[in-house]
Amino acid sequence: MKFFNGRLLPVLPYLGMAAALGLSAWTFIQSNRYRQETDAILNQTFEIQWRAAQIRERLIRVYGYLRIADETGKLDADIDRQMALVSVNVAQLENLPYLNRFFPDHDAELLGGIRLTLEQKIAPLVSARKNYTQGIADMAKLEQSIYEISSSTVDHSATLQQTASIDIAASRNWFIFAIALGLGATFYLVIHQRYALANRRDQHMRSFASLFAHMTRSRVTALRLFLEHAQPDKQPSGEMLEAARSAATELESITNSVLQIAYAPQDSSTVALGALLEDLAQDRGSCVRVLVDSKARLHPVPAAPFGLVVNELLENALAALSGARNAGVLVSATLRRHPFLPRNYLLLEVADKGAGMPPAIVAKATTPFFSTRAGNHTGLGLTACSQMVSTLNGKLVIQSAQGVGTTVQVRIPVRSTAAAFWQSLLRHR
Amino acid sequence: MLRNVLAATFALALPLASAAEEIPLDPNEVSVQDASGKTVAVFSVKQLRAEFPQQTYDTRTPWTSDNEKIQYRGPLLANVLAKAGITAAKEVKVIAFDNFVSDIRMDEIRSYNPILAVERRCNENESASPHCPPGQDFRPISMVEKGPIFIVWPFDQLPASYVPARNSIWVFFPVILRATQ
Repeated sequence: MKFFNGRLLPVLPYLGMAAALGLSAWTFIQSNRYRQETDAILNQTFEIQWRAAQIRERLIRVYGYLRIADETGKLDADIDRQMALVSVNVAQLENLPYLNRFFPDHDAELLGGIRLTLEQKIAPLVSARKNYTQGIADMAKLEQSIYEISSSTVDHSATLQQTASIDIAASRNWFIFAIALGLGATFYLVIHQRYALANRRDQHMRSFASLFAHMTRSRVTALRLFLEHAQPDKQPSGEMLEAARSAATELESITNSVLQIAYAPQDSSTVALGALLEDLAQDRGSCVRVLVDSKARLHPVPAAPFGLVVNELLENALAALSGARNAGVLVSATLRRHPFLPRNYLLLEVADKGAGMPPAIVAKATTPFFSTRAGNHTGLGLTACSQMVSTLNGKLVIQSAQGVGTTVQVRIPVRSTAAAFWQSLLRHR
Repeated sequence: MLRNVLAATFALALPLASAAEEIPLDPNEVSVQDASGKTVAVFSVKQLRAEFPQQTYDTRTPWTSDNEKIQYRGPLLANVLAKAGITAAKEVKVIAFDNFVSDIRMDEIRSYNPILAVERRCNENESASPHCPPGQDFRPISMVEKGPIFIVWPFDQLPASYVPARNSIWVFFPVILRATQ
């Protein structure tokens, strides 16, 4: 049940849609096959009826020639051609590989009977040119046999056609079922997406809360300890006072930053990426270089979260550089096309040629509450950075090698205007 | 299928046709006629086999299944017509021993090179029969097999739209080839 809720449920609508597509394709192929089968059956029926008609027609000719010969004593020379053609048509009909599909056993016997009568009774008297009266009697029976054969062919082909139509109708029903399934899956997906959106918002709230706790906890604890140890009769040391003051100032600054994020209207507080990066670089002097391509430069980004993230990355990079000479931090930003989807993403890189990090540290870098510089900075921490980036639907990737340097990549999808409109519509409903 | 439809149509018109057409009594001969209906040449199966370069097609027909190929041999229809002096015709009206009639365009004959097949290759089961003595690869085509003369086309070279729409060009036992303008 847990598996069902946890993993299968989100995949289910996609499976449904795939099944719907598969079913549609299958019914299409089936219908086509039924059509071809029906065509083949009709062709075969035509062939049989054509042969039967030929036999009937030739028999009537032979019958007529025999009647005239019986009256006049003179047999038309064309009777040999008619006899040859009737034999050929009987043999061809008997040789048709699909004959037993249409012919009941009784009809096959009738056909065999026609062949035998022609070979054994009619052909000898035609060759001998005598005894026409006997021939006429036999021909009358043959004529009736061939009518019986033709009739049953018509009956049977009607049945086959009906079967084919039923198969086609069944196939159509499957097609309708596939469409219904596809529609169901689509609606489910839409509903599922809405719940997923709500879920993501909850996740953001939790991230935000943990971010706040992470940044304030150690300072609040420090202040509490300071106050607990403060004695009314004893003046605290200047160093302790300074630390407490600094902790209070930092707390104030953190609260202000967080308030700034919390109350910033979602769509309005954007700033051009180029301007944001240059402002941040300027504060840090000449060791930070900024490279922004022309499209990315003017691209609006949410000012507060972006500022905090870049600020933290810059702080980290500069800290990694401490001690290294002539080294700088390169901040680059480009707008790129998504390789598969019709949208773009913003690629921001903060690269330093500092000490780098061993793989174990890189692996832990985005773990909550992990820091190599605990307590001495008021930044977000990489954990919070990573969470902040994920609230923007982006991704943060750290590449680092000891002695070579560290590059932090932030990828953030950039929505088209139309997508942003629908997104905001969905949010406000 | 179209052949059947055409044939059925023809069957309805049979009394008229038989009054107009004098069908030769021997399916082992084919007569070539000019536009006026005058016979300009008659070729027997024996002549068709001996007096023309022979072309072999290993092909299926509209009445055999996809993988059932038969080797047919005989002169090119174009060569037979040319020998009878028919070169400028636009169409050839082919009349069969069973009164079946089909019009074949000269451009079809030039494009796909049909043959007047008079023989088919012996298969393994027939090696003992009198028609296929040892050392003889081909035998005459019986009437049940659509012989003794059968207009055979290279099936795979025909446009897809020809099957079954132009099945009527595969005339079996033709007895008259009449040039028409």
